[in-house]
Amino acid sequence: MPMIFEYEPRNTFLHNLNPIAKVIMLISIFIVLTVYWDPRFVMVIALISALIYVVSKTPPKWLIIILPVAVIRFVESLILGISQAQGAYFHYLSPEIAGKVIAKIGPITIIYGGILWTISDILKIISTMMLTFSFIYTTSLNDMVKTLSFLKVPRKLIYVFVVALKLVPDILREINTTIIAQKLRGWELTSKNPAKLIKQAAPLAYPFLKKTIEYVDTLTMVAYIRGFSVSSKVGLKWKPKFTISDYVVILFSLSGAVLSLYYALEYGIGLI
Amino acid sequence: MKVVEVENLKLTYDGVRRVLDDVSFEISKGEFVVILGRLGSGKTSLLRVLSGLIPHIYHGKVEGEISVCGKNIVKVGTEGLVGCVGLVIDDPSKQIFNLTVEDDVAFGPLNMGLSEEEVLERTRTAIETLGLMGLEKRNPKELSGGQQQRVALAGVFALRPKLLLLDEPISMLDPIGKTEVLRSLRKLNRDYGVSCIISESGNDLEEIVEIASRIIVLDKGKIIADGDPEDILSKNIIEKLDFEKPFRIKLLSKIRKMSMSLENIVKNASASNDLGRSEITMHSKKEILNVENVEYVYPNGVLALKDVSLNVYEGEMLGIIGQNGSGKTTLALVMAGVLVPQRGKVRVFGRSIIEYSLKERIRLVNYVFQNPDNQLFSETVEEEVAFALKMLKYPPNIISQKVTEALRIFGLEKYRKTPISELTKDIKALTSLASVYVLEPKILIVDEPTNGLDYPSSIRIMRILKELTLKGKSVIVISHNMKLIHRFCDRLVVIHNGQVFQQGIPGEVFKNVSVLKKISIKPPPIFEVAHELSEKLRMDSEKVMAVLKTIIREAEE
Repeated sequence: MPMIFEYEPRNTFLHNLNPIAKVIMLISIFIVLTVYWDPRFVMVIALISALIYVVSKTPPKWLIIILPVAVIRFVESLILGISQAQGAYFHYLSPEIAGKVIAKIGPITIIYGGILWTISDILKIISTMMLTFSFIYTTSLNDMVKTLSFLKVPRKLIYVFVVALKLVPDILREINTTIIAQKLRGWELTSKNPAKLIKQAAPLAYPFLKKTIEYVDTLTMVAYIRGFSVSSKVGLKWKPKFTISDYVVILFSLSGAVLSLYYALEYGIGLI
Repeated sequence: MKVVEVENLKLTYDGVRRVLDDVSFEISKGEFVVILGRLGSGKTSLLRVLSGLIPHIYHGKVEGEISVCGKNIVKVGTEGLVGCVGLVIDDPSKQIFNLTVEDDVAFGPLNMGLSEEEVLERTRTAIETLGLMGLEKRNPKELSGGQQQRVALAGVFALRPKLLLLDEPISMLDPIGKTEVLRSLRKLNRDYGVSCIISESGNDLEEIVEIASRIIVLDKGKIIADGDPEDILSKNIIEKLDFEKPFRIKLLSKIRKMSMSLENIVKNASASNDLGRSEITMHSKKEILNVENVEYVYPNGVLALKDVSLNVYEGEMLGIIGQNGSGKTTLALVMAGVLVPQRGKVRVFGRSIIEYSLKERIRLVNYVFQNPDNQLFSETVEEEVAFALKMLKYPPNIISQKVTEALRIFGLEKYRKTPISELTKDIKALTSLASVYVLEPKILIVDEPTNGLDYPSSIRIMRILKELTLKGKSVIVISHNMKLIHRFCDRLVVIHNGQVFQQGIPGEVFKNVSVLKKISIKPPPIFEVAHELSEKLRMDSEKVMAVLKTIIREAEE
């Protein structure tokens, strides 16, 4: 069973896509995501991202597992959007609409523009996660190395990427086994009090960190013996092969991104 | 042509710890050399020096002249040795990066920056040479241990090395996996002229010696013997290291002494002696654990256990054997109550295991993981052994008393204050056993307790486990080491494809050589030889076994 952040060989449209086409598609969507702030437009991108997630058959569990991180980001967005936003920050919404007061909670004034910003930011976070996970789930390590080398990414960065992609699932597997092993010695996370929970988890926290460092050491050794040397100036003699689907995806992504940017920058469409 | 030239190699860690001392040897093209030595004798360090990992990736002061493929390893480092040296480690899962066989084999050539045509050609050749055809699209994690190690070997072979360094490559494999890997190594060595250096700690000597052309014995960082395998093994060198001579070597030396063929020795002995039948002891003890029609399916739909039923009796040592991935560990986790079966029941003292609370359960049935590092978390041995008792909130005086007792039983008194990070593999294994035993479970399940250990340490651990059974504890040992299972276990359960294939007394189970081979189980060599001879001489296999046992006993004397 694949672990979180682990590629799984499958026969889906995204799995069969050339990794370069996938990268172009993702970068295009990310650019549009960065520019757009109108929740209606961001919602459309979020739906496209969700469609990609479903088509790639990326396990829904991945989104649940990273829920704690997502919740923290959500709270952060909420605080920023609700408590910090001011009508003057919005360039395309009229100041009256942007600054319309929805509620007042003590010293905090919640304005309409702030709500729109918060919704968009949350949708952007969800979309980014779904797209990144779909990419990881559908792209083999070899394809990653080929693509990154093709894109002239420095060897050291590729190395970090390769090690991280092997490390995360392996460490998660190790953590699962270790938790079972420790439960069999009476260790349990029982309390609902966060302070007590941290205290109960403490015996495992430091050793896990130590093990992770040791594992990185082993991976470094293994990467070397698999011919992966960081400092070598290896030029990849690999010519990417594209199918019709790849060309369609590349064309669609690039034209979509260019058109979106044009309308956003020229007419302010999708901006708030 | 010399592939390796080592002269007065000295290796020191941390400026003080000398691990290799004045090591000198040469290896020619096509040689198959076994580096034999106990744990900590310097085998792995030597392989790391030859692969350039020391001093370039791992720290260590290297002195002396070391040349591999005509290159000075200190100067060229690991990068300069790509395409010359390939290293394979004991655990294939660590060495495999990708999630399909062909992707993983291609990973090395791709990293070398070869053209796509060459990457494909090398991948195809490596897959064919290592007999992995038909598995190209499979996920290596779903393959058997032997197949995984062959994938790791193919990945290294695709780099076209002149020298293969193998750090105990078969120690974690089931017997058929070991045979598969050794057969592949023999092919690479003979057909492609790849020189091989393989390290060995004594447990797999029987298998490895059959393909070795030379043995170098390493003890405390020094070479104490170097020569032809038969010469080395016929002398008393390996006994000095507390290793056991391979069965076939013992047999051969006895045959030579008697100047008769083995067939004639067996015929004469069976005619003149009343050798009797092998002793069969039935267990009439109290049943304490009962597994009834258990079925377990993993969340991804893999059916791991199918209609498994077995009993565990008080004070017995039960062996569980089977191929990698046959369901042994799943069965153990189900018996320990870690996994809850979808069908069937596990009862301990007549009550379903899941009805016990976790704290009750771990004092009834407990499980020791294969890798001690999953269990060892504290700073010192004493703290580690006390961990479980502290979790269960025992009073300090009771903790101290129980810890002292556990340390005594496992021979760890002198390591009481030793930091876990400084322990050798065998002491780590003993500490992980003690850290679970301290809860005094009635049934202790031990997964591959001798994995990665040398022969003397393996024997020591098995003896300690056997002693526990004499105190009324039941011990379940999951192992690939058929010799140890045969020597120490009272009963045996064979698992195949998630089902109980056979169960009984080891001698009875192992004598079904041809049946076991069909499910990829290789019995200890004495059973294989007895089987071959009984078929050839049309004699009762038990009689042949008895004769062989007598011959071996005499040879040992």
